[in-house]
Order: sequence, then structure tokens, then C-alpha cells
Amino acid sequence: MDAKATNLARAKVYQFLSTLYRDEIPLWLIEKMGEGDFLKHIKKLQEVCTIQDFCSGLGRMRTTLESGSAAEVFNALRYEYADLFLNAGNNPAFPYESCYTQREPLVMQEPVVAMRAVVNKEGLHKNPDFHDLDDHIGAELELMRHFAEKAAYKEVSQDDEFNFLRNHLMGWVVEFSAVLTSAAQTEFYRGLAEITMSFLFNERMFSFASLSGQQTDESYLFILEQMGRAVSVLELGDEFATLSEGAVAPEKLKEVKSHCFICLGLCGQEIKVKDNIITACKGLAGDPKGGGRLCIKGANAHNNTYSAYRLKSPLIKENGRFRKASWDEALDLTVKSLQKIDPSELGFHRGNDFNNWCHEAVMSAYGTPNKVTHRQMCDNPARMANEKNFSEKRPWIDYEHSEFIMLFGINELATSAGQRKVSLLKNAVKRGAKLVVVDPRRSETAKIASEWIAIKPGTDGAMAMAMCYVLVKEELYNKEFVEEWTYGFEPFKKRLMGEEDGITRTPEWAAEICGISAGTITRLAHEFAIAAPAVGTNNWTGVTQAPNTLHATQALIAMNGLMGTFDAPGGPSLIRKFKLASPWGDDQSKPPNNAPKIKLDKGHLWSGWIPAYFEKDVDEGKLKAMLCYFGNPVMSCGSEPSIKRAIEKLDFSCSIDCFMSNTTELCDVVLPDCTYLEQSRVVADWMYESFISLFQRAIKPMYDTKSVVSIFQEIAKRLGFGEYFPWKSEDEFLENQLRNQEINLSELRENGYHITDQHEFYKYKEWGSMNPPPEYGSSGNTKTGKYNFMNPLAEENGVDGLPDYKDPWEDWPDLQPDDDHPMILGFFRVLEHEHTSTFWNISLMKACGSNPVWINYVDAKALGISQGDAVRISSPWASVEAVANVTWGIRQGVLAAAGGFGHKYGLEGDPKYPQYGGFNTNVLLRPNTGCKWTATPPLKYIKTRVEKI
Amino acid sequence: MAEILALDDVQDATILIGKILKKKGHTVHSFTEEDDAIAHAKANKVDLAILDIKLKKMSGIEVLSLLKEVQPAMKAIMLTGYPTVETAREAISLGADEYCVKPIDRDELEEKVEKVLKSRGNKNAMSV
Ligand code: SF4
Repeated sequence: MDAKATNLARAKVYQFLSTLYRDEIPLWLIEKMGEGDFLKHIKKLQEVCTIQDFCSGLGRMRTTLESGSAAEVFNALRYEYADLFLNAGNNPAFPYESCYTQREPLVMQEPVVAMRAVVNKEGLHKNPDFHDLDDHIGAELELMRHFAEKAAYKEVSQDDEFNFLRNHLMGWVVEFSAVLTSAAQTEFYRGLAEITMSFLFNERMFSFASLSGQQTDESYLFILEQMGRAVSVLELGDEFATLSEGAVAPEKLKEVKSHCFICLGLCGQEIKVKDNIITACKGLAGDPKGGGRLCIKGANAHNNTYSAYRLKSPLIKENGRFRKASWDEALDLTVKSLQKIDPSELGFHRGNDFNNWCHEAVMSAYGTPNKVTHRQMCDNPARMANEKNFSEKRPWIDYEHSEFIMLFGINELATSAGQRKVSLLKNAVKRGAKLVVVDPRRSETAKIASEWIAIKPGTDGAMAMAMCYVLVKEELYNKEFVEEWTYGFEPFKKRLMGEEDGITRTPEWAAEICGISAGTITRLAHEFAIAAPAVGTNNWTGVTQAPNTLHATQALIAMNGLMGTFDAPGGPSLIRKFKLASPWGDDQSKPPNNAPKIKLDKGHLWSGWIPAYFEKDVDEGKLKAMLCYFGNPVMSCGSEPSIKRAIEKLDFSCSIDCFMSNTTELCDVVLPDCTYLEQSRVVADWMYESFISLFQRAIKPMYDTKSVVSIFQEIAKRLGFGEYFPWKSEDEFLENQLRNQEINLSELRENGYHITDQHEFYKYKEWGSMNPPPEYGSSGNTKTGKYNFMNPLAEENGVDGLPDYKDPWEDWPDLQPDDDHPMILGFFRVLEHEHTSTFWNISLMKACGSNPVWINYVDAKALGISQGDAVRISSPWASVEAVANVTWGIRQGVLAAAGGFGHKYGLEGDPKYPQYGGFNTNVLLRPNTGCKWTATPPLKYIKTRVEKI
Repeated sequence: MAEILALDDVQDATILIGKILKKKGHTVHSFTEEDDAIAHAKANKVDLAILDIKLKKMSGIEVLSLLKEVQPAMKAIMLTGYPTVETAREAISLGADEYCVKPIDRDELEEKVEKVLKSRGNKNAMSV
């Protein structure tokens, strides 16, 4: 062969390899590859080929091609393609150069910049129709095809070509091929890996020979000739799939003002973007929520977006395996499946999100009444205790001015680390304010506290009732506030004094229950009263994820009510958020709400769909399908095995998510969402001041993903409600939402936030009510306009509405610890992770990649368990294995481990990274169990035993 | 400048590596015998090992795992005449930082040594 023919043959091989990698292999190509001519050339080549891996690779490919009909081969390979390259499997072969520079699952790193520079120099740019990334193996191979063709037709110097080959492809393809060989299940992809590696190695030798003017190895030329002929038979066409003509200059660095959505704390973020690549996430100076700070999760938010485990394309499950699907196909199947059932048989489960105005409206138009968020499994007891008693579900304490802060089961330093309130809390402690943390575990916040009260799990209500008793009995409470601004004091007092049931809620009574001495309880009540009104007490999931804690929350918030500390400097602040206008413009019709007012499940007080009862509801025929957006009910809403079974028993399930999760893997259809950095939202928010926060899209949606609004617009269209979801762009609904504000969208883009109201104290005095004026929103509403000791909702329902302590096992007797299972297990949140949603982020996994179980030193000694031992934790319902962390930092009789772990996919599930992985405490939960008052599963009250393995 | 250990059963190759890298100011300790190289690493600091995959008694992969035991922070570049999927898998699992394919190209070797020495941590291992 002369030089031209050689280069054209090389180009053909590059084209062939690029085609096989850049997408699933189309049926027509498999048909052609399986036909006589292609195989004839391949066989001939195999007979004489002396390059070992190349021959072996061809042999493996043939084995698959000859293993069945073209259609059978096509199906086998498309399932494999989805597993290997679309992250449908747990052992993907990342096809990007970026993933091999540090062997980390991160895309859009330096090689993309370098690749763009090479492509640009060649007068080309990435084909916009190619939805994958610039440094995809298919794109790099196709660029080599371009170089080889250029050399053939224009006889130009091949220096740039060979530099690219040696500095890019050869730098990572050896590793990629090794990964692909180990991950692939079919001979075809193993063979492809061998052929690729062998071919490029020979190309490297070819480059040396060419550059030094030496003869190319004859055997390689023979291979090129034969392969060139074989590939010609396939008629792959002349067009380029990943490259387009014309250089495109890189975009300049820009700073996008936005807000962090990882934990929905909404800290202000400034996102550095260069040429549509996010290079860093920084705090947004002056932002009222973050005050210019970000926690480790916010600072690494772009590594969620750039996780190589992202879902890239819609997937449909067939024969138990996923394959790639088009949006139309996946959406049509989803909507047809929804139309087959009665809407009241669908459960819509969504994560925390601020575009709920859209997806909830679509679901209401469809007609399902069963819509849930994470609320029940999170802090529903606190919300239900507060949202009808005053105007806020969780009143943040004004730490800046506080003298005495009492936190029950809140680990602010981990859960809200980026937020300004945490720096205010730390400063308060530094200046000498007293911080008391009530928690069975010595959390990060407990570590900086003046006192750590290691209470028995589930008994906070008893301690709080006893503190209230001291305040009332000794008449330390604020009589003026109680008289003017509260409702239900007298019945509450009666309960405290034992006039109702003969049980006086004294510190001695509480001490027996909660394991904290009566003296400590009394002293803390005195200190609280003395420091009032610059005091506040608050709680969160450390309390609420034990059963029967609605009344406990009422009890501990009642301390604020007794001392009149609401909205006082240093007390719990009352929220007012200046409401946004409707996303629907004045001339746009709102969709109908076709959902019947029926409740799927009922408890003492909470009713609606209770995901903790998922399996029961499916077994009883009440639920037949699930649509899940940005949620992971399998791992978070109750017993993991039970919820898994429930979804498996459904007729249909669809998940809209960015990653393959333990929930998503069970679904029939997967629709790939884009991360928050790829879509926009606007939110009315509050952190002492009231303000509007913009979530500004920093980059275009990656791969073939879509924003949640556009996905639900498509669903609405197919359901016949498209006219009610008419927005043509994100800007359209954002502008509508901002039309009642002082500033418009472009002004908001400049700053990222806009303060509507400054921080003020005692706002309720001016309002004449604990509820803010109508133009403001809040997360609660008190119908008396006062703080209610007596919960009006409970009163209406004729159930107990007063603060109290109730045994955690009152409604579920088998939750009570016993001799077989004497210890209480729960999970806790860590700074590095946000529930189950951050386990695909390498930066966060490197910071916290496993979850040892905390066990008290004394308990461990008695059980013969040492630090680092493998242990088995068993509940009556399941058992798990873990590693022991022996510590004094947890109360005796209590076990705890970081939550969110236990994924089957991502860094925990990927066999390439065995150093990461942990267990999900929820596996051990009693199936079909939720608090009868609030539907919250007993996530932090699981009776267990632990033993060394 | 770095302490570099070079191990190849072909002496000419170690001489060439030494020549290229000494010019860059590094100290290069060259070996053709596995035992000598391991003994050196036990007694001296090694920043970077350049190991041929095909040696006399052991494979370069085995040597890498022994060297990593005594010098876990050491970086490693594997040399191979012909990369096979199998050797690549083993080297990645042991955390080799880079490959150089023979014949050794001066620019490529200089560039890879520079890159590996500059990188803050070792490249991650991947179990494949
Ligand atoms: S606390 Fe951290 S994760 Fe949450 S919003 Fe702020 S920066 Fe983001």
C-alpha cells in the first residue's frame, strides 16, 4: 500500500472503532457485520494475523456475532451498552479520558480543554448533535480518523496527529481497555477492548516509523489493508458524527450567581464557568443565607454534576435489563402506563424541590391524590407540632443575640454547615453564650457545646415536659406573653401538674424515663428562665425520627411559648417570605385539579399516602404504579427490603433521577434529570432577612438529560394537559414568578439574591398576629393568631393535642427493646453527605466513604468488640454487617451510623473502588411501620443487638 | 530533584533511562536484578520507580507490589514492550501511575516523569 492507501485504511479502522463506541450498535450494523463479506475478511485476517491481541479481539467479536440472529445479538449488546456506558450497571467502563487522569469517576476535566484546543486548531468543533462529551473515546477516535484522512488527501505533516495519538489516546486507552475487559460480560466488548488497545499500540509504532522515515512493519500494513477492506463492506458513510466543520473559539470565564441545592439549604453560590465547563463553586459574598460560605458539599457541587456515574439517556427495562431509549419512546411508555390505571392507584413520590408548582400540578391534573415528599420520613413530627401552633415549622434561633441555646437532636454544624446561622452559632459560643445539646451521640455540635446531654433515644418529650413543669410550677414563665399571645395554657398546665391523669411531669418522673438526672433537668430549666428572653430551644430529626415525638416537639417548643421568646433578640425567629407570583402569566390558564379528596392511608392525625406502608398498600391493591422524581424511597422511607418488594410488585414504575439508585434500578422506565447546576429556579427564602434567591443555570444540560420542568411539560402534553404548561423557556416562568417583585430577572441575575425585608424582632406585635401578613408566606399558620399550647388540628380531630411524652412503642409494642435486642440503633447525618444523594461524588466519598457503627466503649468491652472489628447488627427483621467504631461519644445502649450509605451503584457499588461502601440502617427496620401520629418511620429507634463476627 | 529507581532486565534500557533523566537533574539508581532493586528500596527513599513489566525472575507487577509495601507513597511508571490487557489490569489495581510503551521515546518519558512527580497524590488504584 502507498502512503495514501495506508492512511485511508487507518482512517477506516478509526471510523469503525469510533462507531462501535459512540453509541449502542445499531441493528443494521450488526446485520452487516454478521453478513458474509465482513466476516470473510475478518476470518482471513485472523488466519494470518500475527498481532496477538488483535487476533484474539477479532475472534471474540466473531463469537458474539455468530452466537445468534442479528436481532438477538443486537439486544444482548444494547443491554451491555447500557450497563457499560450509560451507567445502568454498577461496573461501568467510563469512556472518557478525564476519568483516567486520576482514575477517578469525574468528567469534564483538563483533557476536555486540551481536546477542544486540538479540535479547534483543526478548524472543527464538537457536533452539537453528539450529546456525549468531547473526550469520549468515540470522539477521540473519530478525530484520529479526521487526521488520517487529512494525511491521505492533503499530504500534510502528521506531527499534530501523532502528538494527539501519543499524548491523548495512548495515555488512557490502555487503562480504559483494561477496565472495559474486566467489566464487559459479552465477548464482543472484550474483543473490542483488545482490538482497540492493540491497534493503538501499533499506531504508536507506526507514528515512530513515519516520523523517522522508516518502513512500517509489514504485518501491520497487512492488517490495515484487510481491516480497511472489511470496514468498507460496512458502508459506514462519509459523515462525521462527533465533529462539525468550523472552529469555535472557547467562551471566556464567567461567574454565575446561584444557590446551592445539594441539601436545599440554599447557600449563595458563585459558579465559575469557562467554555461551558464549571471550574469551581465558591460562596456568594453578601448572600443572606450562606454569607459567602459553602460547606464541603456545596464547594464540590459541580463534582455531582460531573460524576461519571450520571444517567445520560432515557432507559427502558426489558427482560430485567435496561436499554437505551429515546425520550419519545420512554415518555410514551410512561404516560400509556399511567393511563392504564386509575390515577388514585398511582403514588407520586418526589424529593425536596422548588419546582413542585409544576410537577405537582401535572400530577393533580392527571388526578392522583397520592403525592408525597420526603416530609414524612424527615421531620414531620416537628412540622405537625409547629405548623398549626404558630407560623413556622422549624423556627431558627437568632444565635447572634442568644444567651442560652438548647438544641434537641439538631447537629447544625454538620447539617447546615454552609449556612450563615452556623457561623453565628459558633460565634455565640465563642462570646460565651451557653449551648446545650441534647443527643444520645456526641455530635459535632455537641462537641462545641457547654453541655452534652446524652439522653435515651425517643425520650426528649419527658425531659422537655419536666422543664416546662419547673417553669410553670415555680412561676418562672412570662405571664404577660402567655396571657396575651398563647392558646391552651390552662389544659397544658393541668397536664404538667398531673391534674389530668395523676402523673405529675416532675423532673424525677422524667429522670426515670430519659436517663438524665432530675437535678440537671431542674438546673437547665432555671438557667433557661434566667436567660430569657434571649433564649431558644429547637429540635430536628434527632428527635423526630423516633416514634411518637409529635407531642415531644410540642413540649420542647412550649418552653419558648412559656418564656415568650418568639422573635425576641436571641429567641426563635418568626419567618416571613415575600411570596413569589404565579409561574402562570395573567393570560395563561392554570391546569385543573382532578385529584379526588381521598386519603390512601390514615393514622391518628396524619393521612395521605404513607410510603412507610408501601408494601402493605401494594399488597392490598391500593397502589399499582409509582412515579418517583428526585427521591430514593427504597433507601429512605422505611424498611429497605419491604419497599424494594413493594416496587417490584407494582405494575409500572418510573424514576426521574440523575443517578442509578437503589430505587431507580427497580423501575421500568428511567428518565434522566439534569442536576441543579443545569437548570434554573427562583425561590422566596428567609434567614432572619427575607429574600429572593435565584438558581441560575450555570451550564447547558449534559448528555441527553432534561430539566424537571421540561420533563413534566412533556408528560402533561401526552396526558392531554399540554396547554396548561405552555412555557417556551425557563426565563418565561421565572419572569412570571418575579412579576410582583421590585426587581426583574436580569437584575436578579446580576446579584443572585434580593433582600425584600430586613431582619426585625417581635414582628408579631406589629402584625397583631403570629401569622405574617398575606403577601408573605411562611411554613405554618395558627388559626388563633397566637402560639398554641393545644394543637388545633388535634383538637379538631378529637385526639390528644397537648405537649407530652409518649412511649415510642405505644402503638407498635414490638418496637420496645428487649433482652434479645436491647440496643437502639439510628442513623445520623454527616457533613460530607446529603441523605442518599451524594454517593456518586468522588470528592465527598474521599472525605467520607464508609459508615462504621458507633458503639459505646463500655458496651463494646462487655461484648468483646474492639475498634475496627467486623460486627453483625441484627434486629428482629434483618441483619447487616458493619465495622465497629468504639467511642465514648455515644450513650450506652445506643448504636449509630452515618445515614445514606448502602448503595448498589456509584462508588459504593462499583467493584473498581472497593474502598468505598457502607450499610443502610433502614434495612433493619420493621416493615410497614410508621408513627401513627405522623407517619414517620422509626428510623432512629430500631431495636437491635450487636455481636462480633 | 527526585530519587528514581529504574529496573529493566535489559541493561541498555536502564542506561538510556538514566541518561535521559539524569540530564533533568534526577538521581537515577539503575538495576537489572529484581532483588537488588528491592534491597535498594528497603534502605533508601524512592520517589519514583520505573519498572519493566517483563523481568527475569519476577514480573514488574510483583516487584511493584513489593516496593509499594515498603514505600507506599512511591510513584510508579511501568514500562512495557507490548501492553496487554492483563498486565494493564494488574498494574492499575496496584496503583501504577503511568505506562510507557517501549521503545522509550525521550520526550514521552520526560513528560510522564515530570507529570507523575508533579502530581500531588498517587493516582488512585482501581480494582479491575
Ligand atoms: S449547607 Fe452546604 S450543601 Fe447545604 S446549601 Fe449550604 S453549601 Fe449547600
